[in-house]
Amino acid sequence: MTATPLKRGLPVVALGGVTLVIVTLGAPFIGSTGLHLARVFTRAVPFADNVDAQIFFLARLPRALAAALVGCALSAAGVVFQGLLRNPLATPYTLGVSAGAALGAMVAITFGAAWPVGGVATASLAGALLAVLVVYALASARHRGLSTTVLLLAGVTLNAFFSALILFVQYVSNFADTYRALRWLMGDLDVASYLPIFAALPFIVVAFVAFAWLARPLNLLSLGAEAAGTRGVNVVLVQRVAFFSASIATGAAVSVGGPIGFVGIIVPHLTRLVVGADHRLVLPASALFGGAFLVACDALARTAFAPLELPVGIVTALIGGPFFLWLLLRRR
Amino acid sequence: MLLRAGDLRFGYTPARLVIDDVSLDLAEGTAVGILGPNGSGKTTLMRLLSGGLTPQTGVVRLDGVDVRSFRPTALARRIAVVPQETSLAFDYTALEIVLMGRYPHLGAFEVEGPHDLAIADAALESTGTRALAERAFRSLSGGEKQRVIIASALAQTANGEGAGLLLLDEPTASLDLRYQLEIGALVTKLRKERGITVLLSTHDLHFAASVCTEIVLLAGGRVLARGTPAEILTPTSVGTLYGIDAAAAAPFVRR
Repeated sequence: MTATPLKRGLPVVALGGVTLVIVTLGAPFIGSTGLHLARVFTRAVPFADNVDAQIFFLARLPRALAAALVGCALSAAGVVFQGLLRNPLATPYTLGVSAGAALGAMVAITFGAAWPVGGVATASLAGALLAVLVVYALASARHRGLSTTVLLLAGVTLNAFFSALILFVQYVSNFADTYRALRWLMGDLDVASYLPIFAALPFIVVAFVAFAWLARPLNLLSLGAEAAGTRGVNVVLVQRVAFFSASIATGAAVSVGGPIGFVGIIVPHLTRLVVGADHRLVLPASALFGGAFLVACDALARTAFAPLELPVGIVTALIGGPFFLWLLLRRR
Repeated sequence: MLLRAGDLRFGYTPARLVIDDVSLDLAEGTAVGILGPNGSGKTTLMRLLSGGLTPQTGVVRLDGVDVRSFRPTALARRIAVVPQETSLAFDYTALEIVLMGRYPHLGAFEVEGPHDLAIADAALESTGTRALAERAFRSLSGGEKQRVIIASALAQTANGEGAGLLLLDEPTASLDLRYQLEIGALVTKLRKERGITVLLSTHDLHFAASVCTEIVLLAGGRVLARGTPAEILTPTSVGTLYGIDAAAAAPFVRR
């Protein structure tokens, strides 16, 4: 033995990085209006008169960057939730974060017509945080640590309860608002500016710093909480950091693109098939490939039925649904 | 004395003490077996000794120092626990599991280096699991898993600040005769060749008699008797321990 298993997986992480950069910068060139590389970056024409540059920098690049950011965040958060719950079928939405975010967004769409720009995103983030705090309070009420069983039960219950509230808000709102709300729930990356990206970025950066620290303790948590404790892991701290950081990353991602499904489970699973189970490889590789995957899905959503642009959530669900079934059947 | 536990009392609920005034000493290089009926507090006692649980009264001292004053990683470098069964959430290889034993030796963002790999290799070697290093842990048999976890425990206490202590919770439960013998031989080898101190709980009287230098009988959270296997494992005391006739216990005691 000369190299640790960790070192052998590093090329895959590097490949993920290269893929993400290429896909993110390449995707803006795909679309109903063809762009020419030379014309996008030419200095001969002023930006105000350069249609190619305007489409690239003002319409398609923010969208690709939003897809990359959301894909990274959801995939990595999926890995952390799966590690925390010791269950490869967990998703970033299992514990109710997306239901809280959706409720916040619905309230903003229905009652917040006078709210400033970004009101829906802010409200969805607030809703996500509310859900996180409720689930945390329930799961830690009777335990010193976090009971993963209670976490799951609280998450499932909260998902159902918030769904009922969402339906209630829908029922009292008018037709136009209901349509907007439905579009939001489909998951859409049509951000139209860089602002939502910059707003979500700090939350996601903080979460990713936590993820970097979590990678190794999450490996030991796979052995079980008690076994991890006897190996020197501060289990209670690791569980708390994992729960909050993954929830914040999820909430921030959902505030940008809505509850886009399946990215947080497909990508981690496929990544594990390639790099193995070590979270120090699975986390970065999932984040990078997850970003690239969502950018590609969004490019497909924009172009498959052009000039009609599908919400990206429909594309990921169409790919993810059958994949999820395959995953369940494979697990016997 | 490597480990010294005095006057331990512990209950999961205030109404019922699971461990009721237990004192226990472990000398370096010994193998002590805890025998007792189901619910007698064996696993709880192991948790108290490993620092996983804090006793309501009494103190556990490692090299004379209260285990509660150790940082979790410092304690893990000295005391390793092998649970009855290990089920994994994800597909790690056996080598990755053994390298996880190095967790308490590394800083927060540090990765295992050649030194840790050499320690893991030696641990695989001494547990006879080197050929399994690249295999998926979940694909291994019960006995192979148990040996890989023991290898991980060895990697955990290797190069610690003092002698290592290995706690094994029913190491032969659910293993067939061949693996029972293998685990027994491994424990004796580790004790004799690497000077590792072992505390194990078991229901297997023959296993305890062949592996342990000392036996502790635990009943209802109290120590019933303690001594060498020859002194303790008699039909009378075993009968008393499990609440059966001495005559019924006799076939299970090696004479």
